[in-house]
Amino acid sequence: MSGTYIIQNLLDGISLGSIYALVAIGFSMTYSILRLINFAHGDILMIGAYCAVFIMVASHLPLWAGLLGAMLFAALIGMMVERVAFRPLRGANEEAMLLTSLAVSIFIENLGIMTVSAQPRKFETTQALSFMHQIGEISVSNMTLLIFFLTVFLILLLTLFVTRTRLGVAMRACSENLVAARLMGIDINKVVACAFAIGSGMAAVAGVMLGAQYGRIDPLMGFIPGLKAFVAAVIGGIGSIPGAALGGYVLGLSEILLVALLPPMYSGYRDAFVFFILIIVLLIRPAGLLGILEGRKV
Amino acid sequence: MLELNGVDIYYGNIKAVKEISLKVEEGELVALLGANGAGKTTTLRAISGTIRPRSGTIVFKGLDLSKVSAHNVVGTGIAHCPEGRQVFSRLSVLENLMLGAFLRRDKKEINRDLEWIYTLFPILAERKKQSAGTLSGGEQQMLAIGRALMSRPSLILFDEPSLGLAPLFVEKIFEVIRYLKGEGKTILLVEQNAYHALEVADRGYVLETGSIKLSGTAGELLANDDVKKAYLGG
Ligand SMILES: Nc1ncnc2c1ncn2[C@@H]1O[C@H](COP(=O)(O)OP(=O)(O)OP(=O)(O)O)[C@@H](O)[C@H]1O
Ligand SMILES: [Mg+2]
Repeated sequence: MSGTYIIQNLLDGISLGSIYALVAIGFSMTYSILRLINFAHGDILMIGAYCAVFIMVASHLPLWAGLLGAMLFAALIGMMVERVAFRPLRGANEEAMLLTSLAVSIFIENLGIMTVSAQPRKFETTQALSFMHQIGEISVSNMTLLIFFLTVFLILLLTLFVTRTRLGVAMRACSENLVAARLMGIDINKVVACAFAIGSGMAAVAGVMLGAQYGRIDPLMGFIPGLKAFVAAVIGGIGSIPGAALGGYVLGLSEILLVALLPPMYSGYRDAFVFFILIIVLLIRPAGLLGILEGRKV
Repeated sequence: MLELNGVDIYYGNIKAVKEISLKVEEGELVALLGANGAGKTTTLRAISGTIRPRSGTIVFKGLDLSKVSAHNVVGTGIAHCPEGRQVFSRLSVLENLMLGAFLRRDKKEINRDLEWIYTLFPILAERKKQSAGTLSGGEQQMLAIGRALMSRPSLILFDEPSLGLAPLFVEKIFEVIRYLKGEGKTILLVEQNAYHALEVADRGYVLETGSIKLSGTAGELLANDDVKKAYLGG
């Protein structure tokens, strides 16, 4: 086993980890405020991917336009889902919210199958993305670079938002203490809507990147990434934004490396590895890597 | 300025507060006393809108508060400094204070108030970059008071601000409450420490299992035998 082989796989792991991180962050944001485990979050990723394809095919616009359109559309859908499905449940227990999110997920997936058909659809983008840079024996595609830098950029942007803006600080306050937040004059509904918009927008980016990477999309494409993002969020410490990002990378890297390093006959167990990693992390740190075990005052 | 009339409050089917009526006039400091579970916190929660009375009215400056959603109450001029401090422990001291001014847009005045809070509680200025969770209990109480003041309230609701604090901090808190009264703030003060509270208050109410049992001027209550027995240790 050569060093090049490992580095090559590390690069793949970073690219996969970026995608998990993007999805996990949104997942974690809404969890931290509402204690909502949102299984429909992965389906927003799918909506984003389809939106980008429609924009790029129908209007012959470049990838960045598709990406931007997908983010905006997904943000809108995310806010709508919150308004229709989750807001009426404000104050309900966590199980009720979780079941509702499953229902929303099934609804979106079936709506997808009915409207855009269950058949996978081609996701064609510019050739430039598959261009490979050769550095010695290692090759990096533009795609990998794009995913990584876009993710880092979005995470930085989000960090600035939650530390430097009034609404961002209010969002962190809400994730800590909703009652006290209301005493400050913070409109919880606005903050929640904003968290859904941001989280959905980031999931859309992940959807477009997945589509561009594999060249095809289908209405169920969000299910597995959604589930893994949930695992990533828990690994990182659910409710923590940096934790979600870290969890995404830890998961992406270890998934790829395990597949690469174990004998080929085990590669079919890839998704089982994910839960194996989860169990190991939770055994060592029950609150996740960056999580704080806390009973929130409500 | 503030008037509660026949207010009933339930938690589920449990009646926590029964038909209470009370009044706070502008510039007054009114103490709300009572044993554990008497309904003091519940009453304050109803005023700040975080719980809704089942019946009765709460009127502030002529405004029916039942029509104001919880996050808008602070905008009417009521600041609630809640039981147990409830500071945002993962946020910095400065962020906590600025959240107190969340609805305000007058940047210059906000900064002036911030300086005022820092002169009132110099320790907060020293610790402004630290996360609030690293402060001691007494410092957190100062932060909670500072945060409430940052909304520039005309009425402040204090819920047991001295609870669990060392004597030095208790003195400091009461000194600040006295000072705020001098500044013309209207205050509704919930306290277990009845003696201290009645010393600074103009008037007081005594709650017992959800109803008002006694009311009167601070002097009357201090001299009252029942109050003496129940709250002043003889
Ligand atoms: N969230 C709640 N759910 C159910 N019952 C509650 C809740 N909060 C308070 N109660 C009940 O309502 C009654 C009044 O409680 P409240 O907290 O207002 O008392 P208090 O006078 O503030 O007491 P303390 O001095 O201990 O703070 C108590 O019997 C209490 O058990
Ligand atoms: Mg209380």
